[in-house]
This record gives sequence, structure tokens and C-alpha cells, in this order.
Amino acid sequence: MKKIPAIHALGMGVAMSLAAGVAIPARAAPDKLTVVVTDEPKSLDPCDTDLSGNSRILHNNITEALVNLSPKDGSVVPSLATSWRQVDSLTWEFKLREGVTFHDGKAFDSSAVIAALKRAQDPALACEVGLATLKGLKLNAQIVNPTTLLIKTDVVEPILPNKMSALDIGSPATPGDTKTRTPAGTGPYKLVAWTPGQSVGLAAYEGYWGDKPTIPNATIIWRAESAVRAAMVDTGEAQIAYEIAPQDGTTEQDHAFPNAETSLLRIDAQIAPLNDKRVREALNLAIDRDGLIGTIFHKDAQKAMQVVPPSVFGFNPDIPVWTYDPEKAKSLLAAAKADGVPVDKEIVIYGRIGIYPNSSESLEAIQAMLADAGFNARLEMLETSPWLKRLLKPWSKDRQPSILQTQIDNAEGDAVFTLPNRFTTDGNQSTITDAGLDKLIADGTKATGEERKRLFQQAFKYIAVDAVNIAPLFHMVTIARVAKNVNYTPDVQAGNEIKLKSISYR
Amino acid sequence: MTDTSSEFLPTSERRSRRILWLLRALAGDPMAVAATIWLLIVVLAIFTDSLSLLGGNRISLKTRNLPPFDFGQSWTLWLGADALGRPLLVRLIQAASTTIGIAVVTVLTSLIGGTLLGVIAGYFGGVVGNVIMRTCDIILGFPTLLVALFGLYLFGPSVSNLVIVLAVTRMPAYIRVARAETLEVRERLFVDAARVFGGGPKWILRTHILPSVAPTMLTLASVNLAMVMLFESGLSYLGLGIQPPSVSWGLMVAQGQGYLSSAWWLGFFPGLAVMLTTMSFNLLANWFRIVTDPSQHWRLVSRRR
Amino acid sequence: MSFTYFLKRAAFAALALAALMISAFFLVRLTGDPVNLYLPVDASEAAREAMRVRLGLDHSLLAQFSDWAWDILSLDFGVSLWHNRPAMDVVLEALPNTLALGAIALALAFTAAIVMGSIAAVNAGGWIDRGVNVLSQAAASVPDFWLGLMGVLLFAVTFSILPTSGFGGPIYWVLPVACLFARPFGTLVQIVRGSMIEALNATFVRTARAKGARDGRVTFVHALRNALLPAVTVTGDLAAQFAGGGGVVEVVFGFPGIGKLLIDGILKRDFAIVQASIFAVAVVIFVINILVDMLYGSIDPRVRVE
Repeated sequence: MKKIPAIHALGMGVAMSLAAGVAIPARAAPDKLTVVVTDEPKSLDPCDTDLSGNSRILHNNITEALVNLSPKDGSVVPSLATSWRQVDSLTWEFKLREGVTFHDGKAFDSSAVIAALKRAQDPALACEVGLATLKGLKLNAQIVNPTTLLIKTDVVEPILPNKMSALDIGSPATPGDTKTRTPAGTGPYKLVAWTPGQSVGLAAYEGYWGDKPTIPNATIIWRAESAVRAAMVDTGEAQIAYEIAPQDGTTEQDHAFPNAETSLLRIDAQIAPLNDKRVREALNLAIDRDGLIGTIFHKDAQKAMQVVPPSVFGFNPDIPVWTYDPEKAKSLLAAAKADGVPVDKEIVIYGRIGIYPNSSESLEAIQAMLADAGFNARLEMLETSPWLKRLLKPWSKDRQPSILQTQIDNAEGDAVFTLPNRFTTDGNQSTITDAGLDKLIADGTKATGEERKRLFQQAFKYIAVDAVNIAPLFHMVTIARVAKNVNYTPDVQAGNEIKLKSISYR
Repeated sequence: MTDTSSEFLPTSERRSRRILWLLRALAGDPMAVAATIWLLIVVLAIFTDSLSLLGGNRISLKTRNLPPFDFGQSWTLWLGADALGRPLLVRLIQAASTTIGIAVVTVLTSLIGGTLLGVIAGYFGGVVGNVIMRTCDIILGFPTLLVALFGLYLFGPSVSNLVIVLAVTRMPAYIRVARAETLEVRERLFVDAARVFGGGPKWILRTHILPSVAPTMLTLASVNLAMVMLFESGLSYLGLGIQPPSVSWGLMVAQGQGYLSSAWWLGFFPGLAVMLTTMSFNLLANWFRIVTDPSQHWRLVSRRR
Repeated sequence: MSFTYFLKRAAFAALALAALMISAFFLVRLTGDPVNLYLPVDASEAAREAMRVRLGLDHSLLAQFSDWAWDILSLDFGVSLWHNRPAMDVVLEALPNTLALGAIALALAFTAAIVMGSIAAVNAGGWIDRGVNVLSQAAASVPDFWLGLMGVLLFAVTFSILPTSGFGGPIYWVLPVACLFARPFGTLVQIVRGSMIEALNATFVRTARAKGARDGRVTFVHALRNALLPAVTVTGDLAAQFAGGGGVVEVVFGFPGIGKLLIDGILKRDFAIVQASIFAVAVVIFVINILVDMLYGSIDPRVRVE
């Protein structure tokens, strides 16, 4: 029968290919580094670095900005600009570094900065940076000389330098009508290839203005599953893996660090029974935060009372943390019920699948805690798109009372990036309508220095204690796994920036 | 072999003889016996669960991810605990009712709907028949996953929507088979005779066509039961099937994926349950096919081995 | 197969394809507004409106439909929102991967099934037969994504002899192929075994034996021939299913195939990708069906279509 020899051949073929492939990518040679993240960048255009998926690869690797934010205290430090000063209330002057070139050979000067700025704010391109960080700010730049430029704003912007840290400068040859997939920047690495769906390859740039990086080649890959990412470091397929879930991150190669995210439940304070403050307080008292730490959330997570982490300017360290008091919660509900508030109405908990590790489980646990305290709570997990619909206005007038699982990040270091959208009457995610709070936030936005800090701190305290339209959970911690032979300690910015030039082999 | 003289016995005797014969036929196929035993266990488990005899299902963060096979614990924890500390065995049983319930309802819906539409298309033909068949072709042209994703995205991933989507995507298979069978039967002599005797179409359908078509359709249904279970598991795995806090085996596997290296039992046991139940359905379907085809009976009741 | 037959089939397929694409158009757009997914949450309402206008989403559904229909007829599937490239380019990169994966898995399953099924049939009633029966039933019942996860756990995480996921040389294909192999193998073994047992007991074989013909070769080949037809039919069906992508398996392994592309496209409301994928998959299924028919005709002359 012809069949038998075929089987033999097949068997041999399989055995041979297995044997050949068993030489799995061994520990990478010291001139190559592989990093695994959660998903593919959406674009590698320098003007889209507001998205962490893009900035991870671009920021300070391929492209750089005028300034950087220090990971220790959020202060502004020089990068492509060597110094800056405020000329008048609407004008800032930046002095640029000399001897810097782009990967495509073009020189870095004021006109390059102006081109990048114009491009980022072009509405037709819909750049992330223009839509988020630079929103509501019209910037007008003027050349003084090739190494000096003036940036004029249309409204007073005391933290303009902070905002400039978000603007990555790409080569002036970057096309102005579409997003680019081949960015050319001034950074220590240049893009070698972006294989869609698979990997991004970088190689050290000879003409870099600063210290050359120690590792000449880097590859970024992505895997959706935390256990898979963690396993890749063990098998040598990667040297650094980000966003490892707490249950996978228990070895000594795992480093936990705060990632500037705060998890919370946003309460829809405009619909009964959640429009009664007692009900909202009861909600907060019913959640056993300590029980969640070390089990579902990482043991280093900090209980939160406001939506920005301690590293942000405006953080208020004096707000008393919610205790776990289900009995008090029950009595508050009873008091509200006695006044006719419909506390038995079903409240929906909207969750977003995958928003942070163990997100569904945390909501299941919270729903059980709320049920114990007497709430009628139902859980509904949503995909990103329907969740976004609930997050953003407009909302229907006769919607069900709900609390929304969400997470807020603030790596830019100032409370102004968080407060207006979420807590003012016009904020597109805000469930609160309070004229006093609006004024507080508006004043803080315009103020500077200690006055600014004081006003923001007041705002946070008001939200936590008087308005109570949120149930803050934790300042989150994320875990990165680093191979034993690699020298790298992630800092608080590591979620948004893979600082390749600081990584070396032992 | 079946004793043909049994026609002359009273009904109750006939029935008990038939049952005895079925049991002998079952015994002739040891795989089918194993399948029946497993399914009986599952049904029993679902029954005890519905009577809430299984006790607590409290979330207990202290027993989170308890490993299995620790016989010092209470019997419910012998398969370990899930990510929220609930006994895995209890969760498996609760998930069983959801998973199997959905599969059964889906199959019944597509069986009834598919048979009716297929018989109508086959018997009456014409424009109606053509429309039905073309719609079938279109639905078959879509990858099933796609239809499921659309449907669930559009209407929300509730249990009833899941059933509707699964039933609709499975129906064309039933329609085609029913139609083919109907076409074959329609041309047979006894149907002609019935028409000559003045039987109207409804009567003919009911007394002649349907009974002939039934065995094949039921076999198809039993095979489909397994397929639907696997499908629901896949959809729940992708996050579009059963949503927490409800539970199904597929969802449990999905939830266990994040714990692959730290708590393998979370994903292993539900997947095993799906496999065993699917296999049992398939084996019984196999057995059923042999039972309904008299020329195959020798496999089950012959004394030769 | 005559040319006119082919034309008729093609014409009908084109009609079905048109109906498919039109349904897809409406279904995808009814699932919601993609704009929020592609802008940061802090973007202003004005920016969202601007994006809607740019994507043409502010026009009425009918106007959008006529624009889209015109584009499709010139085979312009638009630009993918997520990948920022022409959608068809992205699809054509992913499609060969899925086809290769499916082809390898099916070829292995078919071959293995013929072998195992024949062995079992020849040994009907014995222990080998029972073993094969149980094995194939188990294989046909296993959820493929679970098999994938267990495979990753066992071979990649515990024993580290295979990579966990990804794409590259032959070793990255081992686990995905193994997962896709299981169910077709199980089903096909059942079919081959079943029809071979029937054939081996059929009248013509008994007659041949009675007349003194030697057991073995002749009867075996006859029975095998008999089993090929249903096996090929089922394989054709499975091939068509796989063309739509073992989507779930691809997601588990991060395999850059069209199943994963489609699922991602739907989750990200990337209309262009979804439409381009459906089109490509439908064309592939059509080709597979024609091929199966032709294969049919060459195996069994009675069934040749004219």
C-alpha cells in the first residue's frame, strides 16, 4: 500500500522540524533586546504619543520632545530644549539644543519645531496630542533664530512647559496629510521595520546627540495574555514583559511599581436613588477595600481617596480614607428609605472587560459586598465600545441608575489634566453639576505655584467628602518581569515609556 | 431480534418489551453506556443544584485559587476553588445548567424551525421553497462566528439573544436535510396513494412526511447538540457569550486563561466537562443512529462478538 | 466540468456574495459608532463631529450605502481605521496564513484519519477498533481553544519545548496546527471507519470472497474507495469552515490570520476590515466548493456533474 511509506515520510518530517525548532531562541545575544507589551501600537506617528501604546515605543526612543518630566516629582527637565522662560502671561521662550539631527538627516531647529506643532494641531489629521493634551489651547509659534523660538498661547497657560513634554518632534519631512508609519525623530534609536501584526524593530542611531545606548538592537512584540508574556521571559523569548497580572507576578524577577493609574467606580449622581448623598456614602462604606488588596488587587496597591496618585501636583494627602462599615451603610440606606428614596431600585454596575487585571473578578466581589449591605446591584460587563458609550456624554434622560468601572491615569503630573473633563458641569464624562466646584477648578487652572496647589487640593477634598460622586478604589500598581541578566528598574513612567537607552545587560 | 409477534400483545406489554429491547441495545454498546452514566450524573447534579441542596456559593477571598485534591477540605472543595474562592465543583454544576440548557433550547428551536421550514420547502417547492433555500445559502455563506458576533453586538449578549443567534446559524443545516428527505419521501408510492384517497397537504405532512423525516432530523439534532455546546463555549471564551456573573463552562475556561500557570485547575476542569459532555452526546447520537436503522441492529443485539 | 456549468455556479456565487456584502454593510454599521474608539476620551465633541464628517458617517445611511456600493464595485474596500492602510492589503497579508494553517491541519487530519480508520475497520470489534473509536470521539469533542491553552501550559510553560505564541518558523505552527487538527481528525476517523465497515460487509465483497478472491488488497481498496467520498465531502465542509478562520484558535496563539483579523475588526468597529475580510473569505469558500466538486467527480464517475 502506498500509504505506509507516506506515513513514514510524514513522521520523519514532523520529527525533524520539531528537532530543528527545539533550538528555541536561546537567551538573546547581548546586542539584542526583546520587549513584550500588551498590544500593537495603533500608529507610530509622532503626533499620536498621547496614547500609551504609541508612546511606549516612540517617546524618547525614536522621537523626543522639547522637555521631559522627571519621574521623581513631575518637574520639567530639559530634553531638546535647554532652557525656557515665560516672557509674558501669554508668551514663552524656548532655547533649543544645538547639533541635533533627525534620522533622515534633516537638521533640528526652530522651523522643525514649528512644523511639528502645526501638524499636531491640524484638525484634519486628528492627532492624539492635539485632541487631548493640547485641547482648547491655540498655540502660535514664532522663530527668533534657529535655536530660539517663542510660543504664544491664546489663554493663560501656566504649565505650558509641562504640556510641551507631550509633543514629540518628528522630522519636518513627515507628510502633512496622512499619519506616517515610518517616523523619523531625533532619538537614540531609529525605526528599522514595523511588521504589522508581529513586531517593531529598532536599531541604535549613530548620530544621536546624547549618550549612545548600550544595546544596539531592540524588538518590541505584543501578546494579549499576561501568563503568556510572563512565560516568554522565562523561556528567553523576551527579556522584559509589561503588565503582568498579580497572580503571575510572584517571582523575584517581577517588579511592582505604581503606574499613575487610579481605579474607581464613577457614580451616576444624577439619577435616583444615587442622587441622595447618603446612598452614595453607603456605597463607599460597603466596599471592603482592605479585603481586596493582596487578593484581587496587588498587595502594593494604595487605597485611594482621589483620582490622582501622590506624584501629581495638587494631590491632597489629608483626606481621611473610607472605612469598611457595612452596618453604617445599612443604616444610611434605611434612613434614606424612610425619606422615600427608592433604595431598592436596581443599580447596574458597568464593567469594562480587561480594563485592568482581574477587572471582572473585582466587580463580582464588589457586587457581592454591595448586595450584603442591602443594595440591589446587577453586574454587566461590556466591551470597550459600549462601555465608551456609557462613559461619555450624551446620556439618555431615563437611564438606569448605574456605577461605572473606570480608571484614570495622570502621568503628566498636574491635576489640570484630570479635573475638568470629569468633574465640571460641562465635562464630557462628568456626572456632577456643581457651580462651586466649577469655579474652584477654573480658578485652579489659571493659578500658579502654591495657590494652584491649594485650589486643586480643595477641589479633591470637596469631591471626596462633599460631592461623593465617585467610589475611589486604589492607586494601582503594575508589574513588569525582567530577565535576570538585564539591568532595568521600571519607574512610575514605565507604563508610557520604555526607556530603552537606560537598559543594559549585566 | 425484535419479536414481530409482539404486535398482538396488549399495549403495556408491548411498551415494556420495547423498553427491555432498548436496554439490551444500549448494553450492546459500552461507550453509549458510559455516555449515559455521565449524562445521568450531570442531570442529577443540575437537579440537586436547582433544589439549592449544594449550599454556599459565597465569595470568599481567603480561599481564592485553592488547589484541588486536598481531601482534608469539605467535599465541595475537592476540585479546588476559583479566583473568588467559590468551590469549583459547585461552580461547575451551576455552569452545567446554563451550558446544557442553552444547548438544548437552541437545538430544539433549530430542530423544530428547521424541520418545518425544510418540509415546507420540500413539499410545496415553488417561490416559497426557493426563498427559503436562498436565505439558507446566504446564512451559510457567513462564517458562523461572524453572525454570532454581529447578533450579540447588535442586541446585547443576553442568554436569549445567544440562543436565537445560535439557533439561526444552525438552522440552514436542518432545513437542507429536511428538504432533501421530504423530496425523497414525496415521490414515494404511499404518499401518492394518500393523495388519491383525498388527503389534504396538512394531513399528508403530519401523518406521512414528518414521521419519515423525523429519525434523520433527530440524529442531526443529537450531533448538533455537541456542536452548539462547543460553539457557546467558544463565544463565551471570546467574551460574547455568557457574561459574568452568570457562568457557563466556556466562560470558566476563559476566566481560567489568566491563571494558566498559577492555578491550572480553573481552566482545566471546565474544559474537561465540556469535552466529556460533548463526547457523551456524540456517542449517544451514534447509538441512536444505529437504533433507528433496523439493518444495523446486529451491532447491538447480536450474540456474536 | 463544462465551462457553462462553471459560469452558472460563478454567477450564482456572485449573487450570493452581493447579498452577503449588503447584509454585512448594514449589520456592521448598526453595531455602533466607531468614532469613540479612535479618539482619546478627552477629545471634545467638536473633534468627534469632525471625525464623523471625515469618515462620512454624518450622511444618511442610504447615502453612505450608495457611496460604499460604488467603491466596492471598483474593488475599493476603503482604508482600515485601525491599521491606517488599505483594508484589502491587510486582509491579503492575513489570508495566506489562515489558509496555510487550515490546509496543513486538514491534510494531516485527512491522512491520519484514512490510516486510523482503515486499521480500525479491518480490526472491527477488536481492541484496536475500540481504542480508535474512543480516541476519535474524544478528539471530535474537544473544545479547540481549551486544547490550545492546555497545550501552551504543557509544552510551552511547563516543558519549554515549544514557544508560547507568535509567528515565525515551523515551530510556531506546531501548537496551532495540533489544535485545529483534533476535531477534523476525530470526525473523519468516524466517517472512514463507519463506511469502511459497511463496505467490507457489503454484498459485492462477500461475493468476491465466495468466488475465491483473496482477502486483503482488492477488498481493502474497494472499501477505501467507498469511504473516500463522504470523507472528501466532510473535508470540503471543514475546509470552508476553516477558511472563515479558526478564529478562536488564532486568538489564543496570537496567530496573524484572518479569523483574528475579523474578530478584532468587529470588536474595534473597523468597517473596512470586516467587509474586506468577508469578501475574501466568501471568495475562498466558493473556490473550495468548486474544487471539492471536481474532486468528487474524479473519485466517483457516477457523480460527475455536467
